[in-house]
Amino acid sequence: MYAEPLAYVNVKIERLDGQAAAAGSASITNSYIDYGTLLATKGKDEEERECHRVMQDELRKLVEGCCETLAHQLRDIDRHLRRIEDGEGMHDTLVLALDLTHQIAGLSGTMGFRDVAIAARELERFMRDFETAATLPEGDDLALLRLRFETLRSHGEDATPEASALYHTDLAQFASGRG
Amino acid sequence: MSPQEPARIMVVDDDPDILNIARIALETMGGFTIETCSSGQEAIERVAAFDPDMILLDSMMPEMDGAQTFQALAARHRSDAPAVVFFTGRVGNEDIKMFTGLGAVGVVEKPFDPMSLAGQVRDIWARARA
Repeated sequence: MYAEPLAYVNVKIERLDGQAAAAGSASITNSYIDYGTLLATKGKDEEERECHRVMQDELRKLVEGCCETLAHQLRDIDRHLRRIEDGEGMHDTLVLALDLTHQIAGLSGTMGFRDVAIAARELERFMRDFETAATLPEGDDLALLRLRFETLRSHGEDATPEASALYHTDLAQFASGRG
Repeated sequence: MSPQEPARIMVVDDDPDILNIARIALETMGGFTIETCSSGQEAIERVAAFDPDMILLDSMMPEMDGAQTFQALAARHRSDAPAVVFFTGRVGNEDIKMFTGLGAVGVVEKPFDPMSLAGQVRDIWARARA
């Protein structure tokens, strides 16, 4: 901290906008301010705010994309399961459904859709046993498979971007708390 | 590099959305320098140039899974190897034993919370160095 000649202070203030200029004015009254730090801080803050805005948009796009992808994945899983139910499915059909379910389980929870992730993980575990045994579910197992999928689909249909807490996250707030 | 936390982290996952969200979580919110790779093979090719302090490695990837990638990376880094943390939906005791038996310093469960990922990484790093 050091005292500045008034003329020099005025020049500096012209380079500041609203909030920072107000801070500068308050400091003039006190005649003490570290302008180097103030300007550097202002620049960094602006840069960080812009970065957070960009990343916030990116985050929302990711959540929106997740919802769109989820709808496609659920349709594809349903198609694979129908083939198995109709007796047309092979081991690869189950593997395709399993891979899609694994993707949903991994991503949806991270994107803020916890119920979807839990239902997907249960379906994945159920299918994994058959995949490991290289068999296809039949009878009651097939009905259970369908039931677990319908649970997943039900949660998936509720998964809108606005339903994700991540969609409303204030990145700046979290970033300011890092350390 | 601060010894208190990893400065450079490589994230390896075949899901591009996971890579994107991990980048936001670790770079924007965590302040780390991040490199992302979409396969084990890509990680092996780029690890020397990026020189990470830590690698977050998906356990289940097509072609080369996390364990195979880990072993290939370990073979290239006889000493001063980056700390490896597995990203996995398998967090049973046997699974964790398997991952730590390979030499991993920790496990991050999938799905992970993007808001707390940076903190998890710091905790694992601190425990590994204790």
